[in-house]
Amino acid sequence: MLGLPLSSFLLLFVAPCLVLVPMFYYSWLIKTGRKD
Amino acid sequence: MSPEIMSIGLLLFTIYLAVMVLVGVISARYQKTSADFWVANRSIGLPVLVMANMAAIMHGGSVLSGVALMGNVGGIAGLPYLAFVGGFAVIFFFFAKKLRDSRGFTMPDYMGDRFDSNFLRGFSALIVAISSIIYLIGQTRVMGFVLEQLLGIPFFWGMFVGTIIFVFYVAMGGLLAVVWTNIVQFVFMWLGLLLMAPYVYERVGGWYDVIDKVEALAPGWTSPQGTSWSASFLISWYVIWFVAYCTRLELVTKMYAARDDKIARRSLPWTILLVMIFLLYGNFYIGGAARILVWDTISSPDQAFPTLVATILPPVFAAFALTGIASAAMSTTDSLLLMSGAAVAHDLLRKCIHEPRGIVKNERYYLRGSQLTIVGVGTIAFLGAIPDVDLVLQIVSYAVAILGATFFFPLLVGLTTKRVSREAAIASSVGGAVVTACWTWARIAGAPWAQELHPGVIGLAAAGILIFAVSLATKPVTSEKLKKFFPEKT
Repeated sequence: MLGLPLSSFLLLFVAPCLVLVPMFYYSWLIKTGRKD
Repeated sequence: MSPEIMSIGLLLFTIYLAVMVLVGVISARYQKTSADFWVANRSIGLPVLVMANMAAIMHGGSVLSGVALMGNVGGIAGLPYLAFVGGFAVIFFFFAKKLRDSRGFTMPDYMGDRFDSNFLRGFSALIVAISSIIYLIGQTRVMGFVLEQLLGIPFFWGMFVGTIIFVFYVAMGGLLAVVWTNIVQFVFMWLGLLLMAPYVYERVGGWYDVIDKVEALAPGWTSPQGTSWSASFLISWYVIWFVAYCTRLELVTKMYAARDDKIARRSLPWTILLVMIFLLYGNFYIGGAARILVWDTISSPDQAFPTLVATILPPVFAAFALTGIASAAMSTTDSLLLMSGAAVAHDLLRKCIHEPRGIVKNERYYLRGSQLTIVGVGTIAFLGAIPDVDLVLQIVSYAVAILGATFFFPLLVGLTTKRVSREAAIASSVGGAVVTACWTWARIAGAPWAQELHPGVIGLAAAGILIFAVSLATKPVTSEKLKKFFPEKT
């Protein structure tokens, strides 16, 4: 995975995205007025 | 470092200092009230807030020490962004909206208003002032070190000139000046880093090449533990930084300065994304390249970045890259100065001494008082940074742990449930701070039992137990006082 061991790849890319993607989604809901 | 690089670098740095002074002078024209000074009149929009968030936490030392750390041991602990992501997510989901809507200026404002306690406001202000000043002393030394390493300015004079400049623009322009100078520093630092990209690529290749080569040179470099971290170290490292980033004063205060609560929240995922890119490129890739290209020629890891730059870049570009990083050495010091100044002038003088006694002063008085406080705190930090006292630097590394133990639970629990009482918040804050400070003292004194666990972990555990236990035995703050944080739905 990108030349890295699987554990490093998961911790460097997958784990942050699991938090970041919902944040961006929620942020988009806030922007469009669907969430207060 | 060649004399050519040094002289071009000094010229660029002088221009940069002139720009900082100019930003201070321009920002001063917008300072009419203490709200202008401490929270930039709550006028900051999304792009500016994102860059200001980023610059406040990623300073010049982040590149220098990040490249040194990654080059040395590799692993993922050198990239603390797992902790950033978690910490920012907590601010995003739990803190940002309520803090912004409560219209405070500082963390002690939150503590005093949410728990209806002037004691807690004063205690919080003392903790913020003391830990920020200690941290500021450490960061002032880092700034002197960065200027010496990168531009050859003698350590004392680097600190002296740097301190005069950042004290000047913070005292003149408050948060507005901090935000705009941070953005100039941020852009300058990124330009310097991006200039390096084609030269590093030419010498070591792309991402895959760096990983292959560095792993062959230092087996284990790409694993989560790198060449020397342990699994338990990794976990405690992330726990401490996670809490530290939830309670990072520079960030929490910037939530107050956003134009509205939506902008406050929307700035956070973008900040994380920029931090991730910054660390992956500026620390991981460049750190790996330094390990491959210059590791055999340096005597300490701190020299990795300047040596790499001087080795691979033409002199003009090298000077630009080094000056960019050196300039960004100020971006954390100015935020810390503002925090400690606010704790003294706004929280202690105005909110804890004047207002409870009915002493009425006009906004001009508080504005001037704030500016004088900034000069005073800056002078203390500079004088404190001159002696090479190892103890100060040891304490600095625990200052974030004390802040975390003091504020984490009152923020997290206090903003999610009305049940937390004044007594519980006082017990949690005071207990967390005292336990962390005592454990730190024992650790520095060499007590063997204190070496196993980080003081922040113990302090947090104490703070967590106290806030829940004391809340159960005491009555919550009245609903009337909580309206600011828990508005009734209409």
